[in-house]
Amino acid sequence: MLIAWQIASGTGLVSASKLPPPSALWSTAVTLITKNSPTYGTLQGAMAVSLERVAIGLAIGGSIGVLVAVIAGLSRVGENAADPLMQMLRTLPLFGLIPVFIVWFGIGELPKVLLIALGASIPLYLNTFAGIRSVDAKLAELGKVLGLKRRELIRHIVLPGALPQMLVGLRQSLGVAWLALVVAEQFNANAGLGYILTQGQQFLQMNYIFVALLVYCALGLITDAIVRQIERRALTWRHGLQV
Amino acid sequence: MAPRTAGVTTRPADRADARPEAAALVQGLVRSYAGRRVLDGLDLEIGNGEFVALIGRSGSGKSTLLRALAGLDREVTGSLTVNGAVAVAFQEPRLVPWRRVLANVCLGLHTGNATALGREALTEVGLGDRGRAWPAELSGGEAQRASLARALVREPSLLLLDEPFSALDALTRIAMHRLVLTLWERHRPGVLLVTHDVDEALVLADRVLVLADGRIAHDCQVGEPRPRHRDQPELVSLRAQLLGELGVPTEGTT
Repeated sequence: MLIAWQIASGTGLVSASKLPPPSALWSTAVTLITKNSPTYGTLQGAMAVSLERVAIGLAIGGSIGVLVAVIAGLSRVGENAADPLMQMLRTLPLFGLIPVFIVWFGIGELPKVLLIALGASIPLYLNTFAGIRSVDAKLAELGKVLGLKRRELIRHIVLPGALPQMLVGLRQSLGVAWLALVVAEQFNANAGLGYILTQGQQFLQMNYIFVALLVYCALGLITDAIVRQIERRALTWRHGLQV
Repeated sequence: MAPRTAGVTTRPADRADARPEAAALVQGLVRSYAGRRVLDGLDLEIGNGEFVALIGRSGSGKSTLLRALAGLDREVTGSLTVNGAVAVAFQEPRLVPWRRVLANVCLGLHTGNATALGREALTEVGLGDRGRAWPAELSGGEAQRASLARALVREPSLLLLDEPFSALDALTRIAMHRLVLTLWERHRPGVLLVTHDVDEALVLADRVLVLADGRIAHDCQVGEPRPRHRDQPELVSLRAQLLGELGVPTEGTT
């Protein structure tokens, strides 16, 4: 694919101003890494800032999502209290929230992280909730026969039973977190991958935009691979389902 | 141990009625589903260490009775007293798939030596070396044995078996029959085996009950010494009698 891309750009089939060739992107990336330009900063610096925002946002949003899902999943009252709220939040457009968040939380790190947290909490909530509700009723009955206390039932039956679905939720949440990051970093940021994107847009430097986009892709892929590894470790009991 | 009165008791359990040698005493048990009385004033006594088999046509309420004895049915009315611990082995083994076999056996055990007890129980059912396996790695027979170990490790005075052998192949089933008898002779819990297999009931039990119209319609002692074989003449005549009670014509049946 890279070769075809290089040839297409090199022979003028595709204009380099629309889609720069991989070789040009490579040299841009090298420049970004080696030189700390006033316009863009360094690539590794931007990655560190962005990763930190995603990590904090995901940690906050994910914990809240799981916690609310456990409350809603285990009781009818909890469901009635939490589910409509989460369903409402789910439909909110992150872009539309930016002015509100700026008014509420200023223009520092807080609104950015909270925007990511909000986006990331939803898939984990939905999947954990569905996972808890899909736990085999026969196993819950077994827990009763074995005299499990409520705490033991949650620990041994409910949460491990919901785990496969929770991990699907974690992967979706990660995806949303990266998307929310782009949105968050386009406003009032002075570092980060989204900042490189915005600057590239302002100075019409497609090279930089593409480098930032490719780094997004790579980071998304890597973090997803990490979750897949966790999945494989945590779900070793699922024999016969490993492909 | 104190008598346990399960379900909604319309008639309070009269403890004077429950003779100390009874593992379970059921009186006037009623359970309706959508207006139909599945159990209709059922009386039953299971002696301490007595092996009772319960047969009946499908839908006759066998499992309903078992679930009531297991404390899984809150809608049941009547008096129901169980002395001591109850353990259940279900039709499907119901091992928790994300806990290893030994952890499954020890689930809900709160004694300090739970792991040792669990190992012992697994050894007893011939799974001493499978404690580290995941339930998905067990064969059907092994899973059912693990389920038996999980039931027995609780030292129940009443063991409820809900058609636990029906999903096994014929050879495994025969091996399981032997195992259950061995375990029963060693631990002597009162047993209620729910089954649709008349032969299984006759080979295993001290007493075979037929459930029909929501009550125990027939109660017959099986006096033959164990091990029994289904072709013994005494059992053949009992089988004909029981099949007659079930409304199955005996001629031409195998």
